[in-house]
Amino acid sequence: MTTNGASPISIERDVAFGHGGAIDLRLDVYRPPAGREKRTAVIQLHGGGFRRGSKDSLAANCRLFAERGYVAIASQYRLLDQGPWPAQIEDVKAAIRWTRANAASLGVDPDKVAVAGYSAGGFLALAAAGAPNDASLEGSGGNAGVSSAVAACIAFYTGGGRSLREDGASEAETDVMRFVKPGCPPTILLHSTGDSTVPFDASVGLFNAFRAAGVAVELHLFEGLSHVFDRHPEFAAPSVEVCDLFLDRHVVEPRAYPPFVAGVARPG
Amino acid sequence: MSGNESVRAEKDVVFATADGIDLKLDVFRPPAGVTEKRAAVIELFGGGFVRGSKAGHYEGVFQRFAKRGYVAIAATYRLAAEAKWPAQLEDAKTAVRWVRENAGRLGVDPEKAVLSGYSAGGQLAIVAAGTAAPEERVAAVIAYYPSRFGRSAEGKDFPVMPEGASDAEYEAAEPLTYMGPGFPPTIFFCGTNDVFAAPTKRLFEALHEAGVPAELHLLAGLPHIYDRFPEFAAVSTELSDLFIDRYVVNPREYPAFRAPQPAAAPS
Repeated sequence: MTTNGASPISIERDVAFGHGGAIDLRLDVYRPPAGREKRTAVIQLHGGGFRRGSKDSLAANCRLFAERGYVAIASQYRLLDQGPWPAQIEDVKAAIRWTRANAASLGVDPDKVAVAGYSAGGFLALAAAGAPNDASLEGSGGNAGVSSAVAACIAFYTGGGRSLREDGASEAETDVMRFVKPGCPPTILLHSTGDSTVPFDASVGLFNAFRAAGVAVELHLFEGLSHVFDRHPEFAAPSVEVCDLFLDRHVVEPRAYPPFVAGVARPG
Repeated sequence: MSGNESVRAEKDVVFATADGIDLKLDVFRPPAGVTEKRAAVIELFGGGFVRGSKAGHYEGVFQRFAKRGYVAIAATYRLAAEAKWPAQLEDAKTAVRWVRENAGRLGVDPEKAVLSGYSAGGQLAIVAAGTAAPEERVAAVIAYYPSRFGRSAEGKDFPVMPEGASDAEYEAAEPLTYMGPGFPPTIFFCGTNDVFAAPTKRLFEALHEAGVPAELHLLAGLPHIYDRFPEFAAVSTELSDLFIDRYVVNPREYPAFRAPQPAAAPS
């Protein structure tokens, strides 16, 4: 997986991208090997129930995305003890705006910014995807006026935002279904059936809701593993591979696949 | 499909004769140097039970399984014009029996035979696994966009069913009938633009509900037989291999996740 060949990925750490209240927000940029660039950024959001975690935990998956040609951006956001909801989504939106504002120097197309989140980060990814340029969630972290829309959303083992409500946020503000609506960008959901931290029904419910809303949606349910199943490298690799295939056909080089016509030989 | 010298193929082995028709299969063995998994993947082609053959459509898939250490077996079964249901089911189960009986010379463990099928072949794989006698048992199922069928809106029988087939006969050919305890671990694949997407999801949900290991991959915007596009065939084979490897080849458990306290972070 992680190969350091002639042209390795390059990593730039702790780049300041904005402010969350009085806190300097930072991100890490993982650039793809030369010659493999897909000119698409994937902003990565860590898990930890909005109370723990850091962008450092995203290193393995960021490398996998970068090796496949993406500019992977591991972004910080304020945890609940640093700011109540909606501080978290404000910071994510600041990261999206920063990425778009800096698209040229990052080597990406400003229209090709996707977001990927894990657990609590998945909730933030869905919220960012479903509420672009929403004045009540944009915050004032930097790059005001730049669009915070994303071209696609990746959500690993995402729940419904319960931790936010335990912290006092309202149901109306933080029900994840609030962010599922027609016009949402293409979304891919990954979960394991053995997850007892966030049962996989959450992803099935999201899949059904996106389908009903007419949004392009993909669902992968890996059997029998617990939360954060992709910490096992043999599951991280195919997970990132299906995400790559998904992003490639929806964002990098949008294309449709023709229906099957019975009796006609396969192409090629 | 272009050949591949490294996979050793043995073509058109007669595994049974039914009503004067030779039933044949192709055996694809792992290339030298690949660690043999001692498991067989028996592949059943699709085509709505009225067309298709082991020859053309999926050889690339068989090669990929063989390259990953499996003995891939492309089996055939009689089509509707040759015989009506359940002849197809009998042929599929005969192929499983043949593989188990010939496990020694195939270099596989007879308890590590897996049934895999595409569309009609997926339906066949599921019904065969669900009605297997002990000597026809399989250790797991790989179901690509498994089909299901019933009478037409006008009450006409489905082409492979005998005329005037009873409701019970249709029920017995329905994959959902077999999603219960005791069914082998199963991995399902389907494109979301496939007419079989919702039925495939329902099969997964019923099997999971029954406490049987079940895995589901629904790929956005892809049509029926999505794996005719090579990039999706490759990842599907990889996912199937991972599933079969941990449930059949080398059964294992993965440790449960524990949220780190408080500094080191989960993903």
